[in-house]
Amino acid sequence: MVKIKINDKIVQAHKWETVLQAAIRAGFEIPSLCYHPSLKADGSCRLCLVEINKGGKTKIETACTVPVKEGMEVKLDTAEVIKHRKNILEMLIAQVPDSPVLTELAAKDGLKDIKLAKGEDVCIKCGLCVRICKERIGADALAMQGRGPDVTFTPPFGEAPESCVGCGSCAFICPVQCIKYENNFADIKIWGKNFEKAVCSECGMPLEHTREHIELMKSRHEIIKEEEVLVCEKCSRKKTLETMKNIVDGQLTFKKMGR
Amino acid sequence: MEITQKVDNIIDNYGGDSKSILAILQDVQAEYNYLPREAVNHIVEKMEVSLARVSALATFFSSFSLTPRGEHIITICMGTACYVRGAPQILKEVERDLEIKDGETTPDQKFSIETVNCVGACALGPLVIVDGNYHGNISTTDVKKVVETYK
Repeated sequence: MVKIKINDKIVQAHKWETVLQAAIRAGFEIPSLCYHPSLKADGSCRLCLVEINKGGKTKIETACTVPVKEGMEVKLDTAEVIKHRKNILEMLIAQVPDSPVLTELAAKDGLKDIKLAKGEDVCIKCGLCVRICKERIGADALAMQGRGPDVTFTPPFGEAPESCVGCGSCAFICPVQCIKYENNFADIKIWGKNFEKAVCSECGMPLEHTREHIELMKSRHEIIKEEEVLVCEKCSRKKTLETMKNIVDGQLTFKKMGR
Repeated sequence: MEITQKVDNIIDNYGGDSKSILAILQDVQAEYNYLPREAVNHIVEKMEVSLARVSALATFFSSFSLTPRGEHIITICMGTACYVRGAPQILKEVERDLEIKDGETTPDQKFSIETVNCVGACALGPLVIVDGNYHGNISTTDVKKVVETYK
């Protein structure tokens, strides 16, 4: 364990943690858009800026990318930090003017008038969609394309992605909800592709996952078995009930025999 | 030779190591002056890398092109030093001469115009590079003559 100081409070942190993780665990709130606990830190939204004092030197850094270090002093809401955060928020809002998440964050920091020219983008270029697709889902269907201000997070070469399984994680994780995703009764539409949902092997009801998604999960995790996944909630409950009944009946007969 | 066969040869030169993917893309680009889609697909298939990774690399570096380019590539430096010495006028002149815009290729597949942000030869500015040959301290009249020699 490592001891660090966050806003004058001494916090015990694991040595593999980042400043942001330690702060969140200690109950502090740091605004961030590109951070997700199950993904590697990227430091692309730059909203989690904090003031870090390491051996007498003060630096403004992104909390999500800096690992904790013994004796580190972190300050969250100094005038300097708020000034920088407001600047970044202003640029983000100028880029994506109609995002409720950004407006809410701006209200918290008291940012009112946006002086920069407004753009028409809908994406804040945080890269969460690409990261979840690669790191967690394993489909690797999305790519960061181009660079600088023209970077886009889309399927490779702008075509309907071949390896996409229609899981919808990218649309779910997007902090500004800019990925078009349609979750219908029997199908899922995303990235210009139409996926049919898998059906329950007992009653034929469409399930939550697409056939392709289940195939991918099966190939990645041995523990996932088709007969357990391809059952809807109702049938699964029925099945469990039957098994429980069998067990209870079995125990009763066993007890009777024992007497 | 078929594209797949040529790409196979290039991949074999690097021993099929997935770390050499950037070098392989560079060699393919040197061969065709752009990255043909067929070649990209073949690399993805043969080297077992994702299309996402190849597309991220190919779009990140401006030296790669995904659309066919001309036989001769005219690179005009737009770095600060060249810019203040009149690079925009040079670009305009070349664009007018070839009747295409920056980043485009002539219909006869002979010339492509590209702009870069500094090639590290600022003392020579304004600078035009045609097929790797540097033409420094160039004027709008000179650039026409230079392009003429490649026609």
